Amino acid sequence: MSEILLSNQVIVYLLSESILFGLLLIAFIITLEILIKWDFGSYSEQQFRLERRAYLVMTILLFVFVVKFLLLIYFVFAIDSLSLLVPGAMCAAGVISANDYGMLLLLLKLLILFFLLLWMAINRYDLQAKNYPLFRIKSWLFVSIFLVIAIETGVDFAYFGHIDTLEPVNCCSTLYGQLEGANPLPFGLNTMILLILFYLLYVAVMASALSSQRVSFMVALLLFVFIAYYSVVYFFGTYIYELPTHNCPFCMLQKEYYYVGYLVWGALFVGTYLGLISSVMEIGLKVERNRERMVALALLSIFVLLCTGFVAIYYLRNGVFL
Amino acid sequence: MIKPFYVAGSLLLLIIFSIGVHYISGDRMGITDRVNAVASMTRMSSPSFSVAYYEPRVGGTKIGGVEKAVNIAYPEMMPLDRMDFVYEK
Amino acid sequence: MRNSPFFHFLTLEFFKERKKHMGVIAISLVILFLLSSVLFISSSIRYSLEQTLDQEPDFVVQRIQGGERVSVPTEWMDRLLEIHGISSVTARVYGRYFFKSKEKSFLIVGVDFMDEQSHKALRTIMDEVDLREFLKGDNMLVGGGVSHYLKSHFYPKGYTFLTPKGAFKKVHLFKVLPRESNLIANDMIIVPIELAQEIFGMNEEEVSDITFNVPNDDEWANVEDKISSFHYDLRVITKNDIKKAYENLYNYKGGIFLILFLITIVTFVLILYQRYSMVYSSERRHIGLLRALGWSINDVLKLKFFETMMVVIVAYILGVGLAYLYVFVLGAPLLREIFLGGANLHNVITLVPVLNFGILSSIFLIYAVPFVSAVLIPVWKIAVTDPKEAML
Repeated sequence: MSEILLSNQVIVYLLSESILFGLLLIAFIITLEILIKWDFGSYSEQQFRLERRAYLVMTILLFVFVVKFLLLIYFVFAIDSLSLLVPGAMCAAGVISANDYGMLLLLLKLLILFFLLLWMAINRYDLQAKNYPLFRIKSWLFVSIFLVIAIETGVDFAYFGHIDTLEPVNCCSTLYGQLEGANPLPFGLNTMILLILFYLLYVAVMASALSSQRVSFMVALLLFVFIAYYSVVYFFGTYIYELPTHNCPFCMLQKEYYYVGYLVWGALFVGTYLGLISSVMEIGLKVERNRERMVALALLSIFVLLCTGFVAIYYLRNGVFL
Repeated sequence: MIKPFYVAGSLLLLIIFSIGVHYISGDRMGITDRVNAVASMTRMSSPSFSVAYYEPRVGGTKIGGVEKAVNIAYPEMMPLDRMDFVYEK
Repeated sequence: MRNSPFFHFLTLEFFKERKKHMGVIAISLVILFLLSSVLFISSSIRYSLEQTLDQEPDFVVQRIQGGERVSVPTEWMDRLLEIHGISSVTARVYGRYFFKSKEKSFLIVGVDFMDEQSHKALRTIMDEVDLREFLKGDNMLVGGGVSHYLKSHFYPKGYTFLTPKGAFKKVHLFKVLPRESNLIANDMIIVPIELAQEIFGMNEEEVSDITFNVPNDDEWANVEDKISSFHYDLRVITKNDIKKAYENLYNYKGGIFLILFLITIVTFVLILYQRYSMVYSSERRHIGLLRALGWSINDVLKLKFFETMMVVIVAYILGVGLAYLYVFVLGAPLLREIFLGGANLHNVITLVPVLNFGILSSIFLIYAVPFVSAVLIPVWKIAVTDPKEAML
């Protein structure tokens, strides 16, 4: 048995994921039945039974959402603690890249969390409306979420089962650092333009949100999260580490930096999720979602303030930029 | 919320609080300092587990018979990313 | 929230129906207690060992013959000293001394007390030790386990070692190392380096292995390769190898336990499922009444959810608190033997309290996720009870 699978965190993580998958399987089977037989206009005994079963699906999904969210944090934490076992890894970046499944797994997790959040928002609206106007949409959404989670659970086991503890991996400075002068930024941007874009897009997001420009808000948000990722890795991160050559999205999750990464990435992703959900629901379903949008704007502002704050504090303390 | 709930809740908080106090006030340094001093004196940090005579007691290669030995003298395969070893004069 | 009627009702019912929850809390308590105790012990030992790693030299060079470590000639030390970037090259002399009659063994370690580092460390361990007195005759410092063993076998003052050359060597017991250092020093006998060589029958040009430091971390891989090419029978162990070995050791015992523990968790889930199905079916009338009074299915689900969370949190705090008391205040009697082993001298160590996010969240997840999953379906079954049940 490989040493990785004996790690306490990995065992706990895989157990939790398997249990969740079991629950979701139950919910999936029920949903299929509901989708086939659902007829809201009917007064039959069967329709009432289906409506009751829909509550079980809802309960399970609420629970799964909460646990998946906690498990994402736990997952990052777990792979961080594995960096001792995998030769060459200094932080989670190395462990994630130990095989091909790692990055895929992380992306799947972020995707699943987004769709679960979307499901929750739709569900909330659906329940308020009394006559289940969005029932079919939400059920089909769940079916697709289930399929993605099924893949994710498989990738979970594949990932942890295939980490080689003898083969050295790259550390974050070789994965993200500037390789032989090659520019890691997309579209050949340089840091200055990246920063200008970062703040411009932030202003664009704010402005389009406040003036209710739904489509432009969504586009600006998507561009913003893309640029924000690169800005944090290649610019703001260096101020968090106080080291100009250290480009890594994972190291800031470690104790040495007071776990500030959880706050930075958490604010960015949750803010983006809520913003996207509000605009998807407004464009697709024509319902007003002001609260989500406001929370999203608040979170994104916290994110921007936090990033700017690190640079400002560094400048105030040392009188120079990196 | 009813009164017994507050009583029970504060009891639980008391447990957490007393754990916290014990955790912070415990003599952690006193113990680790002594263990560290022995390690620094002998330059050995192998745990004194009660292992049988034929099991290795010292070293990083095999502790309590858990870790497989990585023998550089007889490697199965040379680590590929180390060209400096190959070109050693 | 203080005056919310919902929470008032929730807490009122929780205490009114406390008998119903007592059983579940009791089972959870046992499970959480066992799990947390094991994890606490292993993480405490790991913490202490990781602390000692800072004292450990960066590299150890050994000589291998037929897969076993054999003595290293001291001339290897001179060759190491020629390499740039290497500092504090030191020889180690150590080995096990076997008592055939009792099947026990000690670890004899030779220390060069003239060395600054060893000298300083000795001062930290024992304030009033007189080094001059110690070096005058054949004296030894022994760990707690050794001292206990010698005393119970009528060697209170010292011991006469039999060297491989057939000569007897009488060594006086000078002092016992403090109890706190038992984690690494329990079966240790510390003697001056020349005395150790004599007991093991080595000549003066032989040592067990050689340690050295490389202050510049970036040079580690380079130095390792350079030294590996000196001799074909040479093995280099880096600090990272040792660190990894500790991590594995910790994972091994904790992990095997956790995997076996999964069986317990599955049983626990089944018991919970059965129990809650039973408890709730006796509650149908009660819930039916609530529904008749105008509670929606969501309200009932919410009530049951909070009830379950209260059980989970109460059991978690009590279980972890009890385990903390057992492990770090009482010193984990019986259970620590699993970790310390029993094939040689009996060891009693002082466990350093260690609590961190990793352990606490692991315990919570492995307990709460199966718990809530087991309760979900019974909870739903009761929540969708028809109001007409109340009328029956």
